[in-house]
Order: sequence, then C-alpha cells, then structure tokens
Amino acid sequence: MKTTFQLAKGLTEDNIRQIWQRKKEPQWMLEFRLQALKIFYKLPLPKWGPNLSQINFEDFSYYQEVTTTPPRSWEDIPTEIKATYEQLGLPEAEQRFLAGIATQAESQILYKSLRRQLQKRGVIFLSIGEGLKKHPQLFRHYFASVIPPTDNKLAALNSAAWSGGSFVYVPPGVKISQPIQAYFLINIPSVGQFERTLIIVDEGAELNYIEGCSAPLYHQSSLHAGVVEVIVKAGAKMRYTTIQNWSKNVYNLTTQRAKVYQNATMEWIDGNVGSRITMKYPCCLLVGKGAKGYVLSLSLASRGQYHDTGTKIFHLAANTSSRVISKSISLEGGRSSYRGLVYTSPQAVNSKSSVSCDTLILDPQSRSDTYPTMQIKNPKSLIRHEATVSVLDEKKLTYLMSRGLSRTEAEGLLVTSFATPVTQQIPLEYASELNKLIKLEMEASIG
Amino acid sequence: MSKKNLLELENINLTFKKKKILEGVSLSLVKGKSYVLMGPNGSGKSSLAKVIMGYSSYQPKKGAKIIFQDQEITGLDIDKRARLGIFLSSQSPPDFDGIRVTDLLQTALADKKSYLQIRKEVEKLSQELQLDPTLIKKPLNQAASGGERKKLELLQAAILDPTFLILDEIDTGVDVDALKTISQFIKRHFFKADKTLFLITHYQRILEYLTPGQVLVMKAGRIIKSGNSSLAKLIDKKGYRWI
Ligand SMILES: Nc1ncnc2c1ncn2[C@@H]1O[C@H](COP(=O)(O)OP(=O)(O)OP(=O)(O)O)[C@@H](O)[C@H]1O
Ligand SMILES: [Mg+2]
Repeated sequence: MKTTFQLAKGLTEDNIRQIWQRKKEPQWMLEFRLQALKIFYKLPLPKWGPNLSQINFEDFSYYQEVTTTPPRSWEDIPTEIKATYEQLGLPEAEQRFLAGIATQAESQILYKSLRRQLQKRGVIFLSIGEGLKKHPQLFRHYFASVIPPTDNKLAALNSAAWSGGSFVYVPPGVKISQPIQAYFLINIPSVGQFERTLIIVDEGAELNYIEGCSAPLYHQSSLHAGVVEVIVKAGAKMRYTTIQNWSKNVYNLTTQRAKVYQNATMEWIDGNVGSRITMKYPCCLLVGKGAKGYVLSLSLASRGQYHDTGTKIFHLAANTSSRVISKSISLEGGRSSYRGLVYTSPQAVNSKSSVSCDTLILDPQSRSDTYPTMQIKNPKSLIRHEATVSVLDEKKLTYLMSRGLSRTEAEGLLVTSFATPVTQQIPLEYASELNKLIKLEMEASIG
Repeated sequence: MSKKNLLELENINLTFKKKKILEGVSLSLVKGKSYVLMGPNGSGKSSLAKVIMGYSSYQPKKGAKIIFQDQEITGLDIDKRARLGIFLSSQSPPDFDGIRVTDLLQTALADKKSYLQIRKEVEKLSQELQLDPTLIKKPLNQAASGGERKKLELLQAAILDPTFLILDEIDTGVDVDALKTISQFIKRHFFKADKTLFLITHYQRILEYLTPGQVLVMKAGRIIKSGNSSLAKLIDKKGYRWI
C-alpha cells in the first residue's frame, strides 16, 4: 500500500478535525470525536498490569490514506514474517494479502460476491465508514452505545481518532450459518490501528463473525487501540472470533464488549499470539433475563511478550448465565496474566457463572498470574471459579518420545493439546494454523 | 555380515538412591526369537525394560554396554532408540487430554505416512483388537479401562512396526476373551522372522497362545535362570521360591 496522505503526528484538536474533514463525516461525529479527545486527556492510563508509560501518544500519526495498488513490494516485507507465512503453508495470494500487498482486485472480487449474497437476506456488511454514510440513523442509534468514550483512556483515544473497521447488521430472524470473515473489509482501504467494529444482531438472528488470522500482521505502527461493540437482541445468537498475531512490536489495547438481551447468547472466542503487550478483556453485559455469555480465550506469551487478558461478565438480570474458559501458555520468559471480573447485580437472581483458568508454564523464566475478582450483590446466584497452573508432564513427554517423537515434537503436541478446548471451537483452517503457529513459536524458542 | 544377535546387554547395573535395582545383567537376544521374562514383584523386570528403551531416569551405571543391531546405543536418547525400532509397551501408560492416538502416530510418522492413511490403519487395527470404535476418537487412554489401554499400546506397536518389541505385562488386567484377542493379535503381527518379542509376564496363561523360545527368570535384579517353555509352567505351579 502506498500512503497518499499522512496526518501530522500528535493528538491535537486540529488533527482530529482533519480526520473528520477528510472522511466527510456528519457534524455530530466531529462533536463526538472532539469530546472523546477531551476525555482521553482526562482519563489515566490503566493502573494494572503492563506498564504503558513508555507509549508516547504524541508520537503517532493518527490517520493515513493509502492507495490499494501495491507499491510496497514483497522484498520489503521482513524475512522473519515471510518465513512464517511459508511455514504456515499459506497460499501465495493469502500471503500477499496479509502482508498488505494484495491488489485491490484480488480482495474486491471475494468481498463483492460475499456482500451480494448477504444483501439478498437484508444483511448489511460494510466498512464502518460506509456504514455511517449509508445507514446514518441505524449507525447513530447504536454507535458508542455499548462502549462510550468515558469507558477507559484507550476507548477514548479510539473514539477520537477512529478510522476503518466494519459495520454489520443482521435483521430479525436471519441466521447466517457460514462464518463471516472480517479481513476483507479491514484491508479496504487500509489496515486500521484505531479501527472500530459495530455489530447488531437483531431479534432471533444469528451471526458468526471472524476477525484476524493467525499469520502475523505486518504493521509499521506499533499502537493498536481497537473498539468492538456488539448488540445481541432478544433471542439472538452471536459468536465473535478473534485470532490475533500482531508483530512483536505492537501494543494491542482493545476494548470489546457485548450487550446481551433477553435469552440471547454472546460468545467471544479470543486467541492472542503476537504483540509485545496485549491488554484485552472481552466483556458481556447480560442485561436481559436469561441472557448467556460465553468466553473462550487462549494466550501464548513468548520472549518479550506480556499478555494481560481476561474477561468481564456483568450479570444484570435474572437467570443469566456465563461460562469462561481461559487458557494461557507462557514460555521463554513470556508473561501472561488472567484478570477477570464476575459481577452479579441485586436483580440477577438465579444467575450462574463458572470460570476456569488454566495456565501452562514451559520454563522457569516464564510467568503467569491469575487475578479473579467477584462482586456478588446477590446471594441467589451460583459462582464458581477454578484455576490450575501446570508444567509439561515429564512422564507424558517421555511416553511420547518412546514412540519416536523428538522432545520438541512431544512438547508441541502437549502444548497444542492444552489449547484444544479453544482450537476445537474455531474453523479448522484457523485451528490448524494456530497449532502450527504454537509449534513454530516453540521451535523458535529452542533454536 | 550382520551378526545374529539383535540385542546385547553387558553388565547393566542400576541403582536408585543407593538401592540396587539391577545387578550386573548381561544378556544376548537373537533376531526372530521370542523371549519371556518372569520374576517376583519388584525384581527389576520393568526397570530392565526401561533401561533398554532408554528412559532418561533409568540410565545404567558406567561400564554398561547396550548394543542393538550391531550399533552401540548406550546413552542414546529414548526417541532415537524408538526410531531404530525398539518399542516398549508401558506397564502403566499415562492418560492424555487432547491428544488422540492418531495425533501421536501422525507426529511420529510425519515423514512416512499421511494422516488419512494412519487413520485408516488405526480403524482397521482397532477392529481387529475389538476396541470400541469411539475410543480412538477420544484422547489417548482418557477414560479407558485397563484392558483397553493394553490394546491401545498394541495398536501403536502394529503401526510403528518395530523390530524389537518389549511388552511389559500386556496380559495383566485383561479378561479371558481379551487375552485371546490380544494373543492372536501379537501372533499375527509380531511373531515374524524379522521381529523379536520380549514378553514380561506373571502368568502362564498367555504362553498357552504364544509359545516362547526362551524363558528367563529375574530375581533381585539378576537373571538367575533360563529355560524353555516348561520352566514357565513349573513357575506357574510352584512359584519362585524353589529356584
Ligand atoms: N523410578 C524409580 N525410582 C525409585 N525406585 C524405583 C523406580 N523404578 C523402580 N524402582 C524400584 O525398583 C525395584 C524394581 O522395580 P520394577 O518396576 O523394575 O519391578 P518389576 O519386576 O517390574 O515388578 P512388578 O512385577 O511388580 O511389575 C522396585 O523396588 C521399585 O520400587
Ligand atoms: Mg513391572
């Protein structure tokens, strides 16, 4: 991609105004952005987990425009990333696409045929910018309704500077069984560092949405602060899968939250492999009676990486239930923490929640911590929390090696099997890529 | 040019915390023959098997020598020995979560067979072994009974196709019908001129199906007697004390 416009560095009112101008957005969005900028400056950085004080927010350019012809050539992609693409066995078209050098035509053809199919059923699947232009009322009604700029400093940053991302609306009763892949949109016209996703699944509808991929995303800029808002109306079902493998210079600070109405179900499936620091806590607001929240997450933190991830579940109505399964793997001095919150309000009678966190630590230099918080305002709810920490079982390793597996192969097999509860929930091609990636990461750690 | 001996053990001594487990064991095994090793509980049979297989915590003391197919393997890692064709069916294999027998075999045979090929073979062999067909789809040994575990060990052996097969109490905890199935399976797959079988057992019963070429008796870390199949019958009747 070739950058045709780059905003001057820094988070100033003038810069934010320029983003708004260049994107030709309505007046209310300017007010929203400027308000968010004020909030950004007021709010403190998160006081927990990784130290973010090294980030100099004034040192980034918050908006670029790019052409989709690929002047960046294959030769410009770091060899480390190319090697991983090859080891993952990705077809060349996909490699080029991921590296950001695919042609417009390549991705547009795929995207257009998908969009046509969805349109027939009344489904809106657009880039978020187009969503705002083509469906202004729907957009304004839901935008920032789940994650307001006041939520946290990084959500405020995103609210001020956002560009890119997707907008999806599924009308009542429409069930989309085939997973919808987001990466068609994200690459048009640019990979966003401050993208926003807004998804509305109307009553009784179903959507399965997949974002990201297990190949490393090449990124020149090292700050990623996304916002994902999901609204799941009564009786609807939504599954949002993220498989993220940012390159290892990236700070990935993303806010994801779903509002789940009566008897609706929200499932977050979240795999974090790359990045330098990830802070991410997929959240479910169970606001309707009988709403269900389900979070399945996997984190792999290797050398120089720190993942502070977890989930937040708010039981705000009767008979709501939630289930959290978190799996984290630390190796080569990597660090991962699970930070979770389960809250039950006084109204949330007969609510049920069960949380299990399993951690695998591959060597003594690595570290893993669990910080569960429970705020129970309702005695008539059932909350369960389990945590396990394990190392690789020497007996099992020896057994596998006695069948001819090398130590690395045996370790790889044990580690991927630890991740199975997550990988078996995602589409096969993602699962096998994720497994290969885990093995690659482990081979790299000994080699 | 290759000698007839498949395996030579010379002067194997093994101690755990000063306790002598194996004491000066020397042994020559001939290619294509079948052996039975018997002996009281705690006499060192499983330990000897693990020394041969190369378990890292079962390294014999200095002065030991293990030669397999004319190649010295003393000190060689367990996975390398497996790749040379040694297989030990464990007396108590661990349970796995998330690893199916096909996953294990696929990794072990990555350069030799495709996953589909392996799955086909596994299905066929599990029928032969009269294993519940859902079992091979589950993680290895998870919720498997004692007898099922033994069958899963044999299934792996049949696919990995070793030249030297050590079966440690493959007949323990196995019902009458299963014993017959297992014995027939062993006969069909491993009673062959190019394979050598080393059976560790407490019972004469399995030997009614599989007549051994030689019976060895171990006591207190030494091999103290050797004979033909009638020795096993004698032990079955009279125990070990008379030896
Ligand atoms: N890893 C170990 N650490 C310490 N002691 C061990 C270990 N393995 C075996 N032993 C000891 O060595 C001795 C021989 O054990 P081994 O398992 O070889 O006996 P065995 O002949 O196979 O007995 P069984 O017929 O009961 O299976 C026993 O006293 C046992 O406690
Ligand atoms: Mg034993």
